[in-house]
Amino acid sequence: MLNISKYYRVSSLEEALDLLNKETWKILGGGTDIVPQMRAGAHKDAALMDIQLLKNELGSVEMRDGDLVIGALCTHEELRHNDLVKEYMPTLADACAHVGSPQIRKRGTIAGNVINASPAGDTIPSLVAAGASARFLSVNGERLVPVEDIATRPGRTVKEDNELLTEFIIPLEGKAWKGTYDKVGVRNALQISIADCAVISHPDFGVRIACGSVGPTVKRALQSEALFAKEGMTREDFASAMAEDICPIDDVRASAAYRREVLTNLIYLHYQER
Amino acid sequence: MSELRYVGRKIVRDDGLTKVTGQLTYPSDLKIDDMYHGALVFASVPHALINDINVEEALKKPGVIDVITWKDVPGINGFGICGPEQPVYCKEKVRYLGDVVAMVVAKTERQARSAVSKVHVDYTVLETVSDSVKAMTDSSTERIPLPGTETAGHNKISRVDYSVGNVEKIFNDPDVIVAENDYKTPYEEHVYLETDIAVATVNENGQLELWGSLQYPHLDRTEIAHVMDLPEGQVIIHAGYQGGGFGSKHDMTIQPAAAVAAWKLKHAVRVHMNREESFLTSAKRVPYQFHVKTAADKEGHLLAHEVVFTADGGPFVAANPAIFCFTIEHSAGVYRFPNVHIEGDIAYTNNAHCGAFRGFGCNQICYALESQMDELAAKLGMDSLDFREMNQIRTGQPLSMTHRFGGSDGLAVSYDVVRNTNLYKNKEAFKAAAAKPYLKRGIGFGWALQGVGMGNFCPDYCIVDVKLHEDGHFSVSTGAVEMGQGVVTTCHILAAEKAQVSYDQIQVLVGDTDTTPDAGGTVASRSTLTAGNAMWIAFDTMQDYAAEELKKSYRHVALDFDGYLCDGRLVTWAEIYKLLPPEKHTVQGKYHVPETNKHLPFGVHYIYGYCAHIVGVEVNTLTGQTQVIESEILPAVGTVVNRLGYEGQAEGGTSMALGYALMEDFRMDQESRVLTKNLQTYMVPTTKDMPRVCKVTPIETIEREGPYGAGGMGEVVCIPGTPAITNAIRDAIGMTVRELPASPEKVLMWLRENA
Ligand SMILES: Cc1cc2nc3c(=O)[nH]c(=O)nc-3n(C[C@H](O)[C@H](O)[C@H](O)COP(=O)(O)OP(=O)(O)OC[C@H]3O[C@@H](n4cnc5c(N)ncnc54)[C@H](O)[C@@H]3O)c2cc1C
Repeated sequence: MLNISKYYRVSSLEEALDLLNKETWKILGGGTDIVPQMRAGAHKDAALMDIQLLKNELGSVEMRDGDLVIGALCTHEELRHNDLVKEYMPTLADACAHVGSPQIRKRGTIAGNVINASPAGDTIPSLVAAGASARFLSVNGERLVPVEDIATRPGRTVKEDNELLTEFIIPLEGKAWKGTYDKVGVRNALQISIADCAVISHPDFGVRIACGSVGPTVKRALQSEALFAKEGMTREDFASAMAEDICPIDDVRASAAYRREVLTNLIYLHYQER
Repeated sequence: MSELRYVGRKIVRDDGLTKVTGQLTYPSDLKIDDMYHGALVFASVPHALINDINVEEALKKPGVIDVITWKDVPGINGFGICGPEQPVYCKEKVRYLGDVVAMVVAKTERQARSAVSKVHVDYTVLETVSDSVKAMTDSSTERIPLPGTETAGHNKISRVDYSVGNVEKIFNDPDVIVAENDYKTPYEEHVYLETDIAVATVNENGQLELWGSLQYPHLDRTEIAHVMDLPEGQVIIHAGYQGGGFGSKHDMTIQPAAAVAAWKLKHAVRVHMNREESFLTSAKRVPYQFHVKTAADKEGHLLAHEVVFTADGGPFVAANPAIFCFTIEHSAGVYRFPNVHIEGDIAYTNNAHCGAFRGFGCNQICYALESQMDELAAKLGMDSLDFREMNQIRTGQPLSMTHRFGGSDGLAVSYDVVRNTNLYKNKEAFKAAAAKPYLKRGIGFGWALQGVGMGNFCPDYCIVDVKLHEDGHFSVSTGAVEMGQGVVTTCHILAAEKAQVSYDQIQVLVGDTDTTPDAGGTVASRSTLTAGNAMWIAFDTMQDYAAEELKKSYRHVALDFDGYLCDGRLVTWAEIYKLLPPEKHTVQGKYHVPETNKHLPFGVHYIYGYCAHIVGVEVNTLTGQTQVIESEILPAVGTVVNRLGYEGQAEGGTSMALGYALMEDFRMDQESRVLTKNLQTYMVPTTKDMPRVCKVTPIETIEREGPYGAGGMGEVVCIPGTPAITNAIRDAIGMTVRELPASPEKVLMWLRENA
């Protein structure tokens, strides 16, 4: 049962910003988070602003001043096949390839994934690890927010009601990030991650690690990152670093102990294989 | 049997096109003009006495027509396969969170649902009993069944204690090799695509008519007639085509409640559960805790087998006693033990409602037994396949429970067939092919047998009507239900083969108390065998009538394709129709499944199907995840009727076995609240989890009792895959899986402790 008060499809960015400034709207991207949430009783009587028609403005991937810029409305399916993403941010392409199912990947957008602010959003670890920022636009102007700072807790973000997320900027200095994205679940598709991590490196920025589903928001694993600079680290060293980097909980999908164990194993593996 | 025209080929299912094009109507597609919609008021606490049900506020909500409660039930306020113990609408107490207290009926579903919270139920809350062992052993726990219900002990649904020979004597012998272990299995949810539905109405003849999620329309008619206090002739049930069932729809859910509402209001009422409601209320696979002790002599001959178990039956008797007996019957599997001792109790708890699920109590014990077989083989230093073959039951011998059995000889040859599989022949290469040092590979086997039909637990018959029509085609009707398993196509093939007519000269009707006769339940892997034999009988009669009639005019009369060859001329069935008197246009065949020679304290079968399964897995020792890389399933269930349907069943069975082995786990907390409320947290395998090599290899030995040698395969194919996978995990990393599912977490935590 969906209870909505209004549905409106905006036809330009200007119109969107104007309306967002006047009234309270719930922005509808692909709807793959919002619609199931509504079925479960959330967003009661919301006014939905559908932004699908802004695909021309918010749907491209490009290199800009040596950085990789990804439009808010890019879908997971587009990103997993995009040549620029595959070359410069391969772990993001990999993460997108593992989101949900074909249907979900074709509708779900990267902005929706980030603004939904789930600690289990698959695109977030790569964005956080790479130090990506999001551009928020409103009638009052724009601001850039690091992706790591967008979610304040599950389901909550720093986005203002009158703002629209337009794009993500991944700093590259013209060079590619390389690395791995691991998503742990009990099955191979349609799986919300139990724990995930991006372990990436860049010629200028060095090794970066971000972990998801092991805390209220996706965070860099700074202690573990630091170990990558040293030789001869043991699994125990990584276990101690992880104890500080992440704060997982027990839930119906897995225990905190498992989440800790599995991420320690994977990050230590990447250390050994680096 | 090379002369067969249809049996054994790849035939596209009759309902395939209408299903993929969306034309076929399932019960949930049915719309009756102006119908009302019901929304259920479930118990808000798992165990409580009801003091008062106040519907005043709900009645005032927009669109609300009425709120139905126990007061509106004209007859017996209860239903259930082994006794009418599940209330249609709760009166004195609620016993689990899926119990229905009332139903709001309104003009739209939205109106009905939004008034549900306005029905106020006053409860005296009782202690929640969620631990099945404590429920039975600690007499201070709150009693769950309704007052006056006969039980086998405190919160005990039933108990069986059965022995053959003397296991103790064997276990006390210092020279025997013993494996003694505990095993635990989870609740499992069926996840049929079409969630539970009921549409009930009163037709122009004043009869109650109901469409719904049902697997045995004729029994459901009897039960609903009792609830309604109506003669059976006043009740019509349409089950026809279902969007999946897997046994769960053998237990009714909301159908009696909908019937009561429609009858009271003399108006059509539709109730359709959403996924969360279906998860909450529908019957789950019964969870078990086993303690198993198995002994062999030093040469590897099995000597004794002891299984002591408790099961959690949930709040109702439901089908639990039958499931429980089935477990006992199958507890020695395909092996011959001179001494057995089986002892078990099944408890009432406030947890999920439990019932039939493809395999019916065999899956649980097969997993435990097949794990024991591998462990014993390891202790004996024997090859686990040789060990199994050496101890298999042989045709002609009685089973370990001491009753005689019929069935195909497929089991005897299955060991060699398994040895001939690619995976077995190349097992060392398979294991060496892991791409990374932290990936470990192993192979494993499982064998299962599964009783076909009801056993001597209850009458086991099937009726088929065959009607010859004016244009010469036959309609074949039987009360079996098409749930996707392919019974319509199977009946079509068997009928066309037996009648020796063109394929399009047969029309199959199913699942309806008005237009089809009682087939027994569409359960227990029984439809191919029972409907096939019943129609065989019917066509024999029809052919006798025809031959008799033709012999009046011709000298040489012989059955031929699409008619009779009479003195060199083909007399078609359309012509025969004209010759036969009208009463001979319709014939009936009734088939009884043969019973075995003994009545034991649990129902036992005469006919069994067998299945072997070999898998190769890869365990990631960093994450605990298990991938099934290769699978070959080898059912020995008689002749293949339809190669496509057969493969579909076997592949679907493989995926179900995989889900049970690795991920399916319906969970509740200690207050019996469901934690895995829907498909977001309840995991079933997807196509991406299926093995890259997924072979189906029929072991086609004749089932002597079956039509064209066919037996029953619906269930047995989902059973041995589970222990095959857990045994392969053992082969890969040395871990004996003591509790299903072997989730990544359990595997990784085991690895950590045993590093
Ligand atoms: C069956 C299923 C499986 C799934 N599997 C996965 C999975 O494996 N991994 C995973 O990470 N996620 C998964 N999801 C969640 C979801 O698909 C993703 O998070 C997806 O990226 C959400 O994008 P959307 O465009 O559909 O978001 P929407 O539902 O449209 O929106 C989500 C939130 O973002 C806001 N929003 C959207 N666009 C903007 C914008 N441009 N500016 C400001 N706010 C905006 C919305 O207001 C809303 O708060 C799954 C969902 C389903 C239903």
